[in-house]
Amino acid sequence: MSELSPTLSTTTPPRGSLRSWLRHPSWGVKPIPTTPLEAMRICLAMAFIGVYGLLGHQFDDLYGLHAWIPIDQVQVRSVLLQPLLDVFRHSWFVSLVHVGIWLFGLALLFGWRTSWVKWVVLLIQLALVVRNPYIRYGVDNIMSSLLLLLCLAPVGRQWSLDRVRQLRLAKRQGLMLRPVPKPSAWAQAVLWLVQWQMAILFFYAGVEKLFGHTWWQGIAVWRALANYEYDNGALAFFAEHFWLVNLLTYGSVLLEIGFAFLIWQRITRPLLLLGAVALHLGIAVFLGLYAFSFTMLCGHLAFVRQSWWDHLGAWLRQQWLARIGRLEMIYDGDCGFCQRSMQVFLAFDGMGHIQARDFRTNPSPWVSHKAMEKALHLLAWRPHSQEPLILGGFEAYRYVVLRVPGQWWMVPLFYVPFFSRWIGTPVYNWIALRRGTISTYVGNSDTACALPPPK
Amino acid sequence: MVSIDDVSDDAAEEVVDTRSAQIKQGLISTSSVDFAIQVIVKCMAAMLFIWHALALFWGPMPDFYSKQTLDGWMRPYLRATNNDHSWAFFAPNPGRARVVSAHLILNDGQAREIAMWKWLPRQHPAYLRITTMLDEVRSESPDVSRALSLHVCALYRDARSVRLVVDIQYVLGADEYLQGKRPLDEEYLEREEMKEQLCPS
Repeated sequence: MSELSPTLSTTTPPRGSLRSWLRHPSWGVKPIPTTPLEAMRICLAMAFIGVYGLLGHQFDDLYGLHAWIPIDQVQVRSVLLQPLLDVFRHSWFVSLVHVGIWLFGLALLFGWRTSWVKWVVLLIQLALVVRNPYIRYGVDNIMSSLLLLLCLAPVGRQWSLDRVRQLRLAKRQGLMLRPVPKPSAWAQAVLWLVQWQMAILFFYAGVEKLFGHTWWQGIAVWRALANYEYDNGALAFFAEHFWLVNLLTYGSVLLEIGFAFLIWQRITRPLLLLGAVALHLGIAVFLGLYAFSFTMLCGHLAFVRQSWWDHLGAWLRQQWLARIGRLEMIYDGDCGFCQRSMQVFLAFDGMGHIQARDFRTNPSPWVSHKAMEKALHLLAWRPHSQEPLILGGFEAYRYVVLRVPGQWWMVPLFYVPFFSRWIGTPVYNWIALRRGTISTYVGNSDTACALPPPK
Repeated sequence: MVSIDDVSDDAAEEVVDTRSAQIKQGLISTSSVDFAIQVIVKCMAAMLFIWHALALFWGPMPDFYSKQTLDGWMRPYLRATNNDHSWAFFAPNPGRARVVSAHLILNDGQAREIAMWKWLPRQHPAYLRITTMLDEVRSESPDVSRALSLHVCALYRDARSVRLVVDIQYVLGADEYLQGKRPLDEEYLEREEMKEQLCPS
């Protein structure tokens, strides 16, 4: 499989004069893949939808025209945000925001037009915070901070529909081309800012606790657990094992202050991250602050090293391939529509599981020319099997969509019991028979189409 | 305009090599104007980076004399981006729950009590927002109490007046809990009554 080289290839820091440093494409900042930021994008989008989109009919009570807090009673702390409050005076805007939370939240989640969608999400989030500051709590503040940084980052280059579009365009040049996502020095800079943000947040959270007597006495965790606003999870257990409360109280302060200093070291980072994850899982389980914990964990994704993502990705790919084996799709290279379909289909194969073969230029020994004239075929080289499983037409697609993660969104289409096959097979055969004619309308003009018209 | 020929130090050779390699790859333009624009853009990006990083650290710092000078610059930026926080989660001490109920006098003279904190189940995404808002029901912030009372009036059309009552939870100890006492036992509650609000007819 051929790969296009990344655009930025100069990664060595510049040496010498200021001018040579200025001439360096990234000023000595090493371009990195956007993986950690993409993970954060997906995580924050889920949090955004969960926190605001799932409010249901309470949304109007909290943000609507006749909300608990009238709009005239709200004071905006920044003149720049005043327009975001004023628009809430229109009932249509409230409905628009409610719909927008889902539309743009999902667009950010799936990475559709990320370059501007992320800004819309930030504006919606700020507008909600401005509209009713009395219901704002930790989760809103963290989300604003992280969304702002996400807006500055070049996200959408991986794990996104934007990436699918990029792959689809590349596959017009060659079906097996898979351009490497472009690394970015600015992504590194923004990642540092996110890490800095989280370290600052933990540092001040820890330092502020030193002013409270309950933290010094080791009983603060009990006090939070026994607060009736929260979940009061396992109160009896903690009352019987109060030493655990002491341990958790002092441990929380130590972790929060230590985090800001020790998270940067190679050896201590995994420990600190584990501690932070445990802290937030504890807050979620015992206090019921699920959204807060989840959003904090989104921020912590910034500390997951690129090498860890790479190892995880390689391991998952290896495991997946070992389970499903190799897939080869044999298509008709003379048919523009078929080529176009393959470009779109393979663009969703993010991990590159599927090999494509044009039977006109590179015939397969496993499928006859005559069979190939009728339909696309799939060779599935399953593990521990000497011969491939050969499937044609609709069944080939049906087999593939379940086994390639990027194509799982098509599973509902292909796996509705009885109906999928009942409708899908004749539809596929009808299209395959007329692919020559269809190619003249939707295929690539240069390949439309050498097939004879249907009789 | 700076030309590549102006570079006279040891790095010249390396710069020329790097630059020509980049030009070959189409990474940078040969035009000096383009180069100058790139430098300006990068300078602005670097300034934004430093500014934001500094503001994040500066924002939550406690007040001191010299802080006010920079505050005039940074606070508007932090407020506009909703980054103006102390990040004091459960600090300096975890708060005490404020359990709010609305005491209604109906048109027929009957009294009715509505537990506002029980309106939603704890798992509901709006639950914490409601409790956060109810936390603001305090004698010193009458506007919030008034707004919430009027909202209750709108929900219960047969109400003549509404008075919000806050039961502040006393945090019981572990020993007391094991003895069977519970956070909302009446003996552990401290009551704060808001001003009565007449419902608009």
